[in-house]
Amino acid sequence: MEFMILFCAIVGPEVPNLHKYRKLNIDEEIFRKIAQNDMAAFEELYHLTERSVYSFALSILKNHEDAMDILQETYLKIRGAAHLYKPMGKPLAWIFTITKNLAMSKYRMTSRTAAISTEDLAEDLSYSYVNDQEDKLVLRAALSILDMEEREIILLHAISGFKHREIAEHLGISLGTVLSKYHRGLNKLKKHLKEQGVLG
Amino acid sequence: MKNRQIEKALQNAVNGAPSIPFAEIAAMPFVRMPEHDAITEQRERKTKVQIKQFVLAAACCLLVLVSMSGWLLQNRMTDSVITLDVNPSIKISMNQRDKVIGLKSLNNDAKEIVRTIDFEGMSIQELVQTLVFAMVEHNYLAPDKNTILLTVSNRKTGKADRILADLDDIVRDSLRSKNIAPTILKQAISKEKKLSELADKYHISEGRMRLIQGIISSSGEFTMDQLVTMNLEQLYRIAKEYNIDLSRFITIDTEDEGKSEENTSVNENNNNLHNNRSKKWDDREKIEVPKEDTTEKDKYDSDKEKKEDSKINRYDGFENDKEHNFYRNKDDDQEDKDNSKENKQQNKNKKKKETNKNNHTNGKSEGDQGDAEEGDQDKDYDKGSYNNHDLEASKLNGNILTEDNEDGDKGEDTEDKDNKDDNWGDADSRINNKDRHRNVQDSDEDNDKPSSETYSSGENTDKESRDRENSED
Repeated sequence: MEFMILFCAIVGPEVPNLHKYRKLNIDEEIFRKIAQNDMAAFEELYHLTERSVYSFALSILKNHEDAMDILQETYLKIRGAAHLYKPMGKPLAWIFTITKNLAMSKYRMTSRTAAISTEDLAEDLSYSYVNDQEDKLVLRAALSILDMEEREIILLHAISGFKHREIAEHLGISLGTVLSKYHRGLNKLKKHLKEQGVLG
Repeated sequence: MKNRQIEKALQNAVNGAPSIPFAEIAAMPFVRMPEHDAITEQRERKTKVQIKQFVLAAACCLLVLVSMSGWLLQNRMTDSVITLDVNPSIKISMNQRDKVIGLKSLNNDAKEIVRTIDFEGMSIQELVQTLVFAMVEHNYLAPDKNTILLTVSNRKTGKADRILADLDDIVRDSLRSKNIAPTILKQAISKEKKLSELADKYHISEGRMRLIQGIISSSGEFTMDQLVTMNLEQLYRIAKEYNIDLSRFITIDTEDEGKSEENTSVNENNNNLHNNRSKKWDDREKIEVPKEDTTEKDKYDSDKEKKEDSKINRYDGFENDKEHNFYRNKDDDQEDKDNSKENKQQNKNKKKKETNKNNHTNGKSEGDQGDAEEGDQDKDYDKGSYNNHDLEASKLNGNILTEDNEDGDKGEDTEDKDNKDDNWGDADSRINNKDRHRNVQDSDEDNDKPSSETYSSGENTDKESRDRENSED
């Protein structure tokens, strides 16, 4: 009987791992192809990085619409400057740099022109596209109580599956800072969610 | 909720957000940029900058470390170790700049001396002088306890020798100022781990341990346990009693030249004595001449005085010098012969037998006396007597020995016997030194008197011979 269980465990159907991320192996050659107007290469890059870029923009701007705008602008910038790209071994770092510069520019412009009212924020934070209530509460809590760097690190780790070392490389900050901010942010989040009664 | 659950909730929420279709992005117009702007500018990787900063910081640290270690090496690390042994054993540590960085007592006697001395800011010369004075105050060094062992340990033998010579002068001058004629045993040794371990084991200095090892290896009659409990004076006495040639591993520097000569060179290095004369002469001149000069000057006429002084000094300088005495006796004999010739000329018309007898009695007896003196002197060397000064002084009086001088010789003989009984008697030798000075003065006084007495005695002998002739006639 025990042998049967062991055999089933080895040969049986593979359980899909939800936390297994696609490794973002981007060849720097892809930018040369994009510069040559290779749409297949551009599409490949878009599908590989779109969620990471969106989550990163969202972590800075805390707004879905603004994040979508920044996403669009980021890929237009990549297409317009692909021929200027100098291979330095970290293509994602360049993409995140563009995203961050655009998002910060947008953030500064928005904060200068008009203060976002709490109602707008509440409406924006409704995240109607999120079906699961618990997931929605967690996302709202993350965007409201964490500071910018904590949001960047936690979202990139959770959504793109980057390791802490990779996040440090892409964002150009030290590994120690990444680790400390990641754990501090998560603890803050856990505490908040517990107070809200989300966590049991 | 665990971290993974939170991350999963965030993943689900973000992935559920609507995205822009690629076709829409692809259809959008874009501007091909001629150059990077502030948004697309590629930054140098910070890791390179960090590495540069790290390397720079590491280089700075290294520089600080090197300079610190250099400072430590020059100022805090022990370069030379000096040990002073009397009975108290004291260890002095010096850095590369010859600055005193440590003072340690190696036995209980040394503790009370070291306790009272604050060596901060003292040069090694000042410290050694202070220690020597403290030892004199505590009566560890006195006229009858005048032996001190000075050991310098350094990796570079040249430097050790230089320090040793410097400190030798300091110790000597310090003790002289306290009217102590020192016997300085000195040695420059290179650092040996075994020696220092052995010295630490028995709580004595490395210098004394080296001396003990030398005595054991030379005599083969003692054990380490026997010798480690002895003080320096006793060790030195043992070395003398067992005729151990300490000069093989230690330099013995005595105020009384006779001592050192006895140890090292009388039997072996007669030729070296000849070469060392000038050195001895200089030393003698420094040490003893002034005292005697001042006494002499008050007493006698200047011309005469100079002659006599020069004689005294010369002979003082060559006291115990066997070879010189040999030549000196030859000269004396020659003078005796000349005198006898004069007597012959004066007594030409007298009877030949009588004159021959006179010549025979004067010349031969004096010659015999001279030989006897040589014999005595040789004996003195062999016995270890340091009191040949009387002999020399007696020779200064002229060819004819006075009764006082003979008594002096007898006195010497008795002293020699004492020395025979106790080969190393510093107290005796000190007393002898005093006696010697007295005898020198006496002999000097006699030196003038006999010059007249010599003639008078010579005249007397002539008169006697004439009387005899007359009576015979």
